Amino acid sequence: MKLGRNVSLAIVCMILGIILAWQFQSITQKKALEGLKNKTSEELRDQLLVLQGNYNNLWKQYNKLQEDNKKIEAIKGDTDEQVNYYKQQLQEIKMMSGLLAVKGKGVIVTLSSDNGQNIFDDDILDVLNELRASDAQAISINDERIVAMTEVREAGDYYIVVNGKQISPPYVIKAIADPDNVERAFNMMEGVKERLKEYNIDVKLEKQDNIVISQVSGPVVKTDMLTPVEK
Amino acid sequence: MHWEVNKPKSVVAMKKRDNSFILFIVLFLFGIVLCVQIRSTLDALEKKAASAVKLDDLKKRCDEAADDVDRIKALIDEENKKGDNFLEDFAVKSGDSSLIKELETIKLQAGWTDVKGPGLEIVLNDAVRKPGEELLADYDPNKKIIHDSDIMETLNELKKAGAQAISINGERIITASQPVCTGPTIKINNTRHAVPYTIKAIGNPDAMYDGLSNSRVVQIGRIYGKQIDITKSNEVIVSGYKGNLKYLISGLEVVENEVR
Repeated sequence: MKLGRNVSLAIVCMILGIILAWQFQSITQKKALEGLKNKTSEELRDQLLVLQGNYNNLWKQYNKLQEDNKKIEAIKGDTDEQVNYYKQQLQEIKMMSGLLAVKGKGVIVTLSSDNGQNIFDDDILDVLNELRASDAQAISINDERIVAMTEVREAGDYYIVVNGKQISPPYVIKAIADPDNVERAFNMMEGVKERLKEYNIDVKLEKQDNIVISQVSGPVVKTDMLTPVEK
Repeated sequence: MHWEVNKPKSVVAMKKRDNSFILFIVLFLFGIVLCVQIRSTLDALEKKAASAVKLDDLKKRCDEAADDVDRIKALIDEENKKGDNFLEDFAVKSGDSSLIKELETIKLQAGWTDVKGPGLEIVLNDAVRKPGEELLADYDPNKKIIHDSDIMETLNELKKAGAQAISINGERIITASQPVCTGPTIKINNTRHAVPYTIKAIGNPDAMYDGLSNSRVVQIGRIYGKQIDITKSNEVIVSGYKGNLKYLISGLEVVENEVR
């Protein structure tokens, strides 16, 4: 009788223990699950915003393209106009891709360090990044035109290699872009000017109305490994 | 005698009271726990149903938006083809084979054409979050995600190793392209993209593989658990630039007499 009571008490306590453990587990699980669910809905919301933004951008591009292409219809049959249009189109492609010298409004950025400290490839990339982020349309560094496949390589202590050519400080980077835009981006708090100052690199920015940027020299743009894909 | 008989009796009685007291407490707790459990289960079921509806709705809207983007991309493709066809037709009609060749070369150099060739396929993704990781003192979520600087360095490594054509998530890298960080996404050619980033590069696969896997960006990235897969391939297809040229040259003028 006494033994029976003790045993039943033990069983009840055991069940209670199991239930407590179960409860505890289910609460922690629920927390984890909720976190996961919030994350997916947040991710989906982000995704939606990105898609909507892209759509708006693409729509504007499409309208502009459609407008431009009306010209093709308009000049049908007019051979002289067609020759002009062809030349103009080709010239635009060449301008954009660095195959033609160009001029325009922009900035000249000079990187120098007076205490003999190196300016690294990273620092150059940082500046180029900032310029492109401010929608620069043509960039050169020490008169080497920056094109799509231009590399920036550190090569020894006092020079870097760009387009396979050695260049050394001071680095003069010319860019055709909205000068005010570039100035704002460079002088931003924790912007590129401040970042490079920490490495004792002096960044001088000069706005100019007429900047000439030369074309990329012939053999830099290699295409021997590329085969056009027929559509 | 009387005293001696009495004593065990009282002990037994006390034990009995003791037992039922413990039993009372145990059952009391049992009741509370049961109540809490049932309530929380019911609660969870309710919430689950509500959030499932919300998630489904969001998913549907995302799918619709993605379809819209695809549709407008197809339209842009069509318009680009119109411009392209004009140039091709003009060159072909002229009957001048050097003109045709010139056009093809310029388009190839400018990144206008879809191209294929040997190269690499690289997939970059944020580090997988381990449960409870954020409780660690040195946890820094910034070191776990792919930044625009990671992509910029990856591109530079590929270019150093002689890449001839590169695309990120189908966006051809042209002279004016630059990955720009805008919150959780990265903007390339004015279009926003999120992880995972698939980079395709045509060039010498071995040189690019060695250059990239020994680079700082990959080695440090891997230490922090970022997912970086690099695969060599005999044929990588890199699509041509799909945007509008006019935006990229609005500030440029031709230099007539200073061509080098």
